[in-house]
This record gives sequence, structure tokens and C-alpha cells, in this order.
Amino acid sequence: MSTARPGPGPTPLAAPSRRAQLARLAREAALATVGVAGASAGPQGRFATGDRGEVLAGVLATARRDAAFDLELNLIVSWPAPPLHSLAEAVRERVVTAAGRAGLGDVLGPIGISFADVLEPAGLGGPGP
Amino acid sequence: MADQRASSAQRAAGQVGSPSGEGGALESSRGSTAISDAVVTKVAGIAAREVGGVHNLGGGVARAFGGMTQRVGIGDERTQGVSVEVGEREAAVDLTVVIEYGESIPQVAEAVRSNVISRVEGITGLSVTEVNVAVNDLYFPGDEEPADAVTTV
Repeated sequence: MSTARPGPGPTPLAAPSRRAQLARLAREAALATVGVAGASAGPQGRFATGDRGEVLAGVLATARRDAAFDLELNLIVSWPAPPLHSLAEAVRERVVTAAGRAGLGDVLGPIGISFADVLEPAGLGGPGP
Repeated sequence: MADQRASSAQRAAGQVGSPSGEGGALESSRGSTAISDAVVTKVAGIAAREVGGVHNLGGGVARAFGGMTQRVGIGDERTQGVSVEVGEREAAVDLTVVIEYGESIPQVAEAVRSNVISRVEGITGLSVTEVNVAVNDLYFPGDEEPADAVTTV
């Protein structure tokens, strides 16, 4: 008589780290802000966070000594562009709210925002006929 | 032909222009905000093109080279003919423009200067210390640029 033992089977995906959770929600909150057209990892891929094999481009979360995380977002602005310092504050507001809702408000550090480029609809601003 | 009003004495004095590639930094309690030179360049280029009488930006070589790089997908016509120097709080802009024949060059140059200052200051919060406008060529209606002729084949 042999006892059948269950095989190893597929390994369940590990839960995301708090760092990855924070990076993902910050990126999503930034992209949902009116005036933000996209997020970019930058020329050297500096602004990117890994999450279980996926790369979250445009956001870098860095652990601090106090167990919180610094966030850096590298954003592309849509045209017509709003005043960028107000836009940055609007993005921060959304990130803070989203982090609070997700129970990550206590690990949210300063949010650095850089605007890397302007994206405009094709045809706008071209030479006249 | 050039209409260059402001001097570059401020740049020489170091008030404007850090070669860092990132200007317009602003610190707040919740984090810092930085605006790249590419953003300032693009805003200035779009603002210049919004002015009636401006046909194109860039010198002859820049336009020819720009047309080539755009066809292979690595160029952006909105940044050709625009050069910026961005400091922490200030920016200086140099533009090379092609104006439509019959327009008043001083008036168009002044309108370009005014719109560039308004847009750059409004969007980035930087103080624009100078906008130098160099009129490089005139456009006559019906003139076809070589790049256009090639792309229609």
C-alpha cells in the first residue's frame, strides 16, 4: 500500500512587498491625475521598481532607515500643460490618499516628482501649410 | 537677419544655466519637484510655433537633419531651433525661426518672445530672463522644402 503524496505543483505567487505595493499604487495614482500623460523609466531606467517579475516604469521606491519608503516619480505631461508645480501637488495628494486607503500611509515617505517630457497630440504645433 | 535684444551678460555672470539637465527644482515638505530641460525646450518650441507668421523653427541644416531624424523616428521637430539654459529659478531661451514673407519681423519676434515667456513662466514657474530670436530665413508661400518633396513620393 502506498500513500499518494501531493506533488509540489505550481508555486503560488508570493504576495507583493510593501515597497512594490506602494510603487504600484503611486504610479496608478499619478497616471490617473489629469495632466499626466505617462510615466517613464528615464534614459538609464533609473525610475523603475520590480514587482515579482514585472517592471513598474516611472516609479522608484527606496527603503529608508525608518522603514518608510521614498518615492520618485518620473512623469510625462500632456499638452496643453497645466502649471507643473500645481500638477505635482495634485499627484502627491492622490498618492497620499491612495496610500492611506491601502493602509500604507505609515510607510509613505517624501514623494519626489520629475517632469521628463511633454506629450502632445500629433499634428499640433507643426509648421503651417 | 537676427533680432537679438537681450545680452548674454547674465549667462556669463552665472545667473542662468546649470548644465545639469534638470532645472526648476522646488522643495516642499512632501518632496521635491524637478522639471527637465527637455520640458522647457518643448514648451518654448510649441509656444513659438503658436505665433502667427512663424513658419518653422531651426536653421537650414537643422531642418534638413531634423527631417531625416524624424523619418527614422528619433527626432522631434518641436525641439529643433530651440536651445534653453535652465537654472534653479530662471531660464534663458534661444530660438532660430523661419518667418513667412510679408510679416513684420520685429512684430513677430516680439510676439514670439511674449508668448514664450508667458507659456514657460505659466507652466514651469521659472522666470524667463531672456528670449533671443534669430530669424534665419523667410518662407514664401508655394515654396516646398526638399524634405516634403521626398516624403510625397
